[in-house]
Amino acid sequence: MHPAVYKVGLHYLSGDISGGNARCIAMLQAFQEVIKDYSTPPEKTLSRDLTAKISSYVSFFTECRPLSVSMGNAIRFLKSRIAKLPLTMSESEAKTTLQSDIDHFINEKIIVADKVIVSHAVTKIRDGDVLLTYGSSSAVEMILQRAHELGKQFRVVLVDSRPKLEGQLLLRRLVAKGISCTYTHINAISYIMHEATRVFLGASAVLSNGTVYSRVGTACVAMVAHAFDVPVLVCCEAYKFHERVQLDSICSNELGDPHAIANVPGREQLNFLDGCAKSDNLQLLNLIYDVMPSDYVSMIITDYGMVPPTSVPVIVREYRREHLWM
Amino acid sequence: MWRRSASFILDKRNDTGARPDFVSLSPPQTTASTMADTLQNPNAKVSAYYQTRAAHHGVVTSDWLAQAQAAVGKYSPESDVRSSSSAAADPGSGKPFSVIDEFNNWRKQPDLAEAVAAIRALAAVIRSSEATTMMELEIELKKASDSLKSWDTTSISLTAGCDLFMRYVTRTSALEYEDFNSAKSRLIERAEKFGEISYKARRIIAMLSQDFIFDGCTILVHGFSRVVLEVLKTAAQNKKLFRVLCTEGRPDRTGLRLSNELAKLDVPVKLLIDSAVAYSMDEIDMVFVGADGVVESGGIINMMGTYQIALVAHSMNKPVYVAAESYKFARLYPLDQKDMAPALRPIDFGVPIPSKVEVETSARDYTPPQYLTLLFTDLGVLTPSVVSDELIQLYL
Repeated sequence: MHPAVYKVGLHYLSGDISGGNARCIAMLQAFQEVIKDYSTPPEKTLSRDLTAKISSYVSFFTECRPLSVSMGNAIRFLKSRIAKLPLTMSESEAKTTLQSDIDHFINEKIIVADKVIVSHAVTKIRDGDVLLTYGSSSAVEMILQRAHELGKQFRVVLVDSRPKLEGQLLLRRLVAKGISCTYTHINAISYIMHEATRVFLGASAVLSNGTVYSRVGTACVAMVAHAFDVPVLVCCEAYKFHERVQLDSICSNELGDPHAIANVPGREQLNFLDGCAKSDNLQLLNLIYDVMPSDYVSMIITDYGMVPPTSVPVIVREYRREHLWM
Repeated sequence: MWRRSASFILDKRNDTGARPDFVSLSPPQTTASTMADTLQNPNAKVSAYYQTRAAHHGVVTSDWLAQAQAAVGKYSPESDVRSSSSAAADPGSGKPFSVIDEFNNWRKQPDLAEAVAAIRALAAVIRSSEATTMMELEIELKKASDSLKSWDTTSISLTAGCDLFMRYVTRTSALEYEDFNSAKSRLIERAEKFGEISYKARRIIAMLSQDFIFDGCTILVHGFSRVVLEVLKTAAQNKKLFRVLCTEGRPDRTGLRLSNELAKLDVPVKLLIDSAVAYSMDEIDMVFVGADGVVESGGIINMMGTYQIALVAHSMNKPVYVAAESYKFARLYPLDQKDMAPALRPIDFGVPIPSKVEVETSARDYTPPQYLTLLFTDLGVLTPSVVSDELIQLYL
């Protein structure tokens, strides 16, 4: 077990690193360390042995926290790169090639992609807009900061929910930049939605039928926005697109800590469910993700431009071939 | 705000105080850009695209014409001064050629599509260019294309036509032709051919839509689209029995023109005022409209009133068919009606409007894809979601 991998795994377990992009970048940087310190054992080929090692680390990560779609796509990319290494290449050359490939991937697919998404999205923000967002998405944060830098007059409504309360960190950063914000919880969504002119949401993955897989509660926000005729813009890098199709939130999801929903931190008198957790007929269900049908999404902003949700399989088809992830 | 109702124009004509400050707005823009063709569109508040369409297809009252004459007449001395000063200000651009003039010449012909006019103008740029390498030619073309686009920001087919031609140019320069002159002549040839392609596109669309017009059907048409006229002409020539309901299409009253044309073809036509669409919707079998632009979501931008008609048709389960050539596909994505560049056109109410009253002068609206049934294009019969597919393949 490489120490870098161990460190990142523990970060995942404790929840210090969260969000699709952050987890993917941390994992790839850990793999860069692994490759740097790697030396082929005698009588083994680099590609086979390294792939086996990576697979064992991936199962360690899965134990700490189930993989996200972004991490899954990155691992597929890395494995295909390792498999494509010519046998005649020397070990040190192969290692530097792999490390630079990983750097290119992070740069092209995440960092530059985010810049392109931001440049597209700010054209959709007009003066006087009220932008609603849910939870904490890195792409949406960058968009709001960039729009504020460009001098656009807008205010933000930040909707948050228990148990993670991820919106509070985003709120701090936005307020520090001087953006006027309103903070509320998801129970008030139908109350606040009539004020919003645009809804910006992030995504953990976008599936082939245009369905958006993202933090639990996002589907609720999108549904209410749809009912109020407010356009919903989903901001997602193209490397998070996946060919699978999911029809509901239950068939593939992640379970979080059940005690997090039973206990409210700092309010001991509200812990009515203290003894009941062990009861047979009670199941505390803490889902981490949910699924939003494509009818609620007005447009998806990716590094390939602004596309309708029906065009996701087109992008998957046209660009997976080129980028050799398969 | 510059209002163009009848009484306002007549008042303003007498008091020349308003002109200077409008003129003074434009010179800073011309000096900022370093292009050779910096002729500013004199009527920046009015959409040139919709003006032309009205002139070609609408019924223009003599009153409105007088207003337009008065407005344009005031500007021509200034615009001449500006063009000569900008030509003098630009060093090294000795040629008097202006792509905007060329474009305007082509645009005046009623039968020519805007995109074709734009491409012909760009072909003229190539012809008169003194560049010796492909790169130089591309840069010149890019400048000319940008100046055309900025001259009238409201015309989608102009922008789309320019983008298409630029894309073709950059593709051709991929070392296909080692000899620069042969590459140049190939580009000119292609530009000339584009006019034919556009005409052929209308024929293809007319052919494809024949299957959807059945005997005894009633078609509702809105706005004067040459493509839709071609469709109906072909159906009449194929001896189909159908009748057409035409909306009046205020303020241009394109319906009057269209009903004239259809009456010549012996097609039974009924004229409706715009408000009578919902009333007549139960006797209608299908709605046929053209499009000024087809956007990435699969929706269309078309003459004001199209969205209303599509909403009524959708609520009463009538299909809405759009006939549009593929060069009208644009990389725009409006989220709502106000998310587009405004295209304003003066409206003549026939009676003077008091100056306190605001008039909604937008000439176009956006119809979202969920209200459209099918798009007839020269690429085939498409559903709205395929538009993005085509755009991705074309532009990426």
